[in-house]
Amino acid sequence: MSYILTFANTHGAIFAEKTLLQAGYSVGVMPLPSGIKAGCGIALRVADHLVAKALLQENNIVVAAVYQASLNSPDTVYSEVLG
Amino acid sequence: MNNIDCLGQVCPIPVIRAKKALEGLGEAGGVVTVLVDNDIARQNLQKMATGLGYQSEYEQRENGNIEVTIVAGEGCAVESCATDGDSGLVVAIGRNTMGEGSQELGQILIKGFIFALKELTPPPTHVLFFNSGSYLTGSESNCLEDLRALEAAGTVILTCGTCTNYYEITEKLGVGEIANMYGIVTAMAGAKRLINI
Repeated sequence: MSYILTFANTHGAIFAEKTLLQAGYSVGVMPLPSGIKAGCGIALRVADHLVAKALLQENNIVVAAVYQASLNSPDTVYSEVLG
Repeated sequence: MNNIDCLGQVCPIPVIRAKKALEGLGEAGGVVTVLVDNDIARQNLQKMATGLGYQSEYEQRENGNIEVTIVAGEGCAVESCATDGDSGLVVAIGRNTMGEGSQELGQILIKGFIFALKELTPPPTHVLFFNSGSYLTGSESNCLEDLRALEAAGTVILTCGTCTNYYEITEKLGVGEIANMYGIVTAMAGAKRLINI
């Protein structure tokens, strides 16, 4: 799960997690990394941000931003994915 | 040698009987063998033995029964001293939410909490799950990836067997091991610091 989705508020994050789980899509939860400014305190981790975003869009859930995580945890670097 | 027949007996009875037999050996030590018919009893016996600093081994018999041998006494103690990198931190999670208030908020917070635990260095020595917290180690939990990462970092993940039995999710354990109350109490008592959620 190398992509991070952020949301404007906590309700959005909770609703997005539920929606993805109900669609059978694998999703992880994490606190918003301190280096990321855009979004509420909860972020979701997904393997494919395009699939996840499309599923959320069908349910009118707006994603605030998408970040890609480098894999060298715990010093993970998050870079914003535009578009 | 003490042989204890615990066939048909469920935890914690085999552990209690084995513990009494080990205590009865006194300082001279000796060997206690316990015959059980389920793997959870075998795991709990071996955890109890390790917790007491004794060596143990088991033999699976053809009829499905398991013979657990515990060797107690001088020169048999397993090295169990905390290493320098040992955090001594035990985290006890007794529910599948975090904090009071909204349940759906609590359910997402606890998942974030478990992710953040994974980032701790050194990691907790134990993370204990009981009551509705047991759902977090079940195969349907979406915390498994984080819990497996913790386990890979050396954290012992224990879930209360009484609780998984109550919620009928024992067969669905997705990470770590089933423990009985002795295992949970032993982990808590051995903690340098305990976080209770």
